[in-house]
Amino acid sequence: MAEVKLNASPQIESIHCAGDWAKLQRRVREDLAVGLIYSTYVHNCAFSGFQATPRGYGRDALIASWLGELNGFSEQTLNDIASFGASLGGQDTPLTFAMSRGEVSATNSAETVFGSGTGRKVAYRSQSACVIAGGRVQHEWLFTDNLHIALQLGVPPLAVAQRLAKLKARTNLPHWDFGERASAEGQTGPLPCELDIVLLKNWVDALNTRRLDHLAKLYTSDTQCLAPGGRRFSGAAEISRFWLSLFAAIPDGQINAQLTVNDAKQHELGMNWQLRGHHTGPGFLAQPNGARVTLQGNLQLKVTDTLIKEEWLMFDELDLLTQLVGPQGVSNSLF
Amino acid sequence: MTSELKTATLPVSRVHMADISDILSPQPGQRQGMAGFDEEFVDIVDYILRITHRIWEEKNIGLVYDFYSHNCPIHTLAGESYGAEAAVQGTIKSLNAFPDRILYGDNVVWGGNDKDAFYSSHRITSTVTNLGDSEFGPATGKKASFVTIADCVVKENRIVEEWLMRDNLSTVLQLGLNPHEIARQQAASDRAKHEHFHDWRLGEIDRILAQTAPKAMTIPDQPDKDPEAYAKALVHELWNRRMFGKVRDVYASNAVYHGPSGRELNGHGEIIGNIVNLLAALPDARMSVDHVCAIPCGENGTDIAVRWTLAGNHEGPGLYGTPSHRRIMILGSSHWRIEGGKIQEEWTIFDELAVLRQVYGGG
Repeated sequence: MAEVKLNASPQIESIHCAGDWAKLQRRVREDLAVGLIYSTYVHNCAFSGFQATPRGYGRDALIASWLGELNGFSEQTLNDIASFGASLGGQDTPLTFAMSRGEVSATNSAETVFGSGTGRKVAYRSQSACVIAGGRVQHEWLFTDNLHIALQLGVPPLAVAQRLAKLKARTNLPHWDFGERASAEGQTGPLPCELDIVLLKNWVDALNTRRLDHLAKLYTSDTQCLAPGGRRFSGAAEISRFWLSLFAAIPDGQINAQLTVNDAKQHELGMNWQLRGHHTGPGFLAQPNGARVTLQGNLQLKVTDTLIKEEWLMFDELDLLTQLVGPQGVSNSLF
Repeated sequence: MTSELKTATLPVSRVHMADISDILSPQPGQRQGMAGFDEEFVDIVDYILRITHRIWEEKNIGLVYDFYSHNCPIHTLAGESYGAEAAVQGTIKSLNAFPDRILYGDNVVWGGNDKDAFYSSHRITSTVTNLGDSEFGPATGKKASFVTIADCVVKENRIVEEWLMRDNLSTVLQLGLNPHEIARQQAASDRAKHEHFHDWRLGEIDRILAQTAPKAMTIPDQPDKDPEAYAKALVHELWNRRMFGKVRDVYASNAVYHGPSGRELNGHGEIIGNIVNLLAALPDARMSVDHVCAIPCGENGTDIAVRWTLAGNHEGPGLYGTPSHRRIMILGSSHWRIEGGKIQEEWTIFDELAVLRQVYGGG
């Protein structure tokens, strides 16, 4: 009888490019190979985007988040997956910024933040971004269309948001609300962003300066856009209309560009962005209460002749609702 | 000569973006002069990371006797202790309260050398479950994570002085405990003790507040050329001369700030607001830069570690409640990640529970 070697070395796999990372995502979701994270993520990786752990730290916490996710939404398949990235070179530890997107099909088979398992099948979009170095993922951002999931499960989004707000409040940490308000309404007007990728800079500037006419000029006439909440837009007019509704609800909202990716070979651009402002206008299923809100978003673009041919936009509207129904009245005080 | 040959081959270890499997098993061969250190340590970064792992995670607490000097002072805002024995006892108490503590070493910024002494600034994210009674109260069974920055002077294989900045208020809040109740009890206990700790703290406040009226300083635009001059000018202009608008000059527009007690801030406006918020409570406060060290990060970046002391009188409302008119001191550390000449990310840690303790008349 052969001796069983309990301490045999685990299979080592590593991540060097966007393609490797996309394959890993498929293996985790479809094959339940969650343990691959041990060899493909750095031990102190930072991650965000899971409902129960909006901001996470460390490989163990990431694995715990995936176990909860895959238990709640089982039989996952990841369809239409696409990825792109750009290497920033470097002699010691070359960096790669990568982005991916796909549509997840799953069965809501167990309890999640949406409630008890319903047995219903759902299909929803997911977008991700990450930083890769040393053969491992160092930082990962996951953007899931949670509002679309709630709608498919027949769960009232506001009820889920209230549940999530209670979960968030359990950390007891203060909610800090510092700094200048209404930056889009200041006397000098919004500042241009500092990006060196022209199309992304123009996209941010068009939105921050409320020049939706400029925004429309960035798209081809037959552009297609997939947006949160399962929305599909055809043409720049529908995209502009969507942003109009968002800024009507957050009139002082300003977008801040974060991680950017320019994959010249695939003609794809990507950007993580953050929008901050106050809910003082109509919209989002809730009465305006002046709450300061932060949207973490991800934008992916397919470019033709310097114009946007296809767009994939994602932010978590359920998280937005959670912020709106959560505790308000911040004093920036420990008393 | 052997040491010189070995140090020429590999750069000093870096923590940023390195996996724990590589950190704990460095390629053999010393990367810098390590006279007086155990041969197994390839450089000061390796020394700090591996002794932390062995003491805390492998729970070989007795190694403190080997790696701390017998009279090592350990400075915290909550009090001072002296010597390896005190460190051993403190570690045992902490491990009993949080037995599953994992210490993720996020960075070690260092300076100095083996001849004079090394200086290390070790930023750690800890995850814990509170399974035993702690200095904060009875066991809660709850999980928490918090950041610590431990600054150490290291000479001949031993830590000879340490400054420990830990985000205790964040921990207490995550455990569901009442920080005000704890701070009040600690303050009452302080008042019942002899005056030694009071003397030390008040002396420090006098040292910092004694500075003359702030004159303008130019903040160097190349932080990597002279990190100490950069740090001193930045602190002077932003904090002591109240030139808050200069945040726009030294921070990237999308800079990220991680601070104590759950402060997660983004961009110029929030970073300015945070400084104003603290100074509004301590309107005459002055910040003193006590130590600076720096290392390269990535291709063109620089990581700068600044240990600082802030002192002022609690004369303003807001952050720390109704003015108590007490003299407040804060011992803090900031790690700045600089790329393209601007701060892209900052981690600042101080013990805000110990600040509350002072507000309630302790410390």
